[in-house]
Amino acid sequence: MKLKNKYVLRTVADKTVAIAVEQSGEKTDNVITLNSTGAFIFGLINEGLEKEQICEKFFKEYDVTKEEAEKAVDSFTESLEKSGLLA
Amino acid sequence: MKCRVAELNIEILSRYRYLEDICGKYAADFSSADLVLSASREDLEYEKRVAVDRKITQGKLESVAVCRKLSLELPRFDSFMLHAATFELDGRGIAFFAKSGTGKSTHMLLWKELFGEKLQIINGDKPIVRLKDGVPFAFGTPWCGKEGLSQNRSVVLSDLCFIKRSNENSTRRLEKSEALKLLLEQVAIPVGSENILKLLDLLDRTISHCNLWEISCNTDFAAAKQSSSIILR
Repeated sequence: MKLKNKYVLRTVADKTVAIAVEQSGEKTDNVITLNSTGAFIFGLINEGLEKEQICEKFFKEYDVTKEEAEKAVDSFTESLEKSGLLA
Repeated sequence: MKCRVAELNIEILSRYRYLEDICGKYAADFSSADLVLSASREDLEYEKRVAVDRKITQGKLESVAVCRKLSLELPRFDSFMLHAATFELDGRGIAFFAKSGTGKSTHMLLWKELFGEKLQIINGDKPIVRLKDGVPFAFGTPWCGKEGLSQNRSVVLSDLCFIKRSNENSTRRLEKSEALKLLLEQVAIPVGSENILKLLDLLDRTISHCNLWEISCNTDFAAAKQSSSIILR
């Protein structure tokens, strides 16, 4: 699982902003605002982790079952795909 | 051509007259430049491709290209260029920012009508915000919009106001994260993770220092009375 761009992440108040390091895509791809769970998953995808590794880390981080962790990761990556952010 | 903008010594190597004309108020003499800027033929071709005005002159293309290059260099000087109409009123620096064509200049001019000479316009389009000891100062620049509203002076920025078009006039406070997202749409994003993180840090500090507002307004004079009554309370 890979993003089209490489991003830097910075948290301000209760939101995380992800900005593409090289603005190679559409302008709307370059700045993304995430809530805390989205930022957690996005950060791991940005680091190059695969789905199974991300689900495992999500399961350890949040008070959820393994099935719920996988569902959360799937749902988030589906939204990234719909937004055209995945390679 | 040498000029001093936002306390930076900038040497501009220009080929067309337009840049010299707009930089007139900022002319300076110095022996060493903080920045040397010029626009190549490729830069002009890029600006022509993205320009809204298909009849834009070569001189204006050069000006836009140099402005863009300057904005990308600013974070390393603890500064950034903000697409906002900015003014001083009773010692407060107030910036109206919005998507292009929404009416930030219109709203600023309504405030000017309301407050007269007490309101001094710093810059109508692209002021530079520079952080000094953590305090954001807004500076006038040569890039000030088609009305040419600019003064070579600065003010401490105290209020950031996002303008939204609306039939009804209302003003509310913005959350910090809301303001950051909106501001990011009105600043030039540099390339490279170090520069981006630096810009985010500057924006974070600016937002932390300022009152944050969303002004929903129409183009009536009453809109200025409404928003100013809340913001200046």
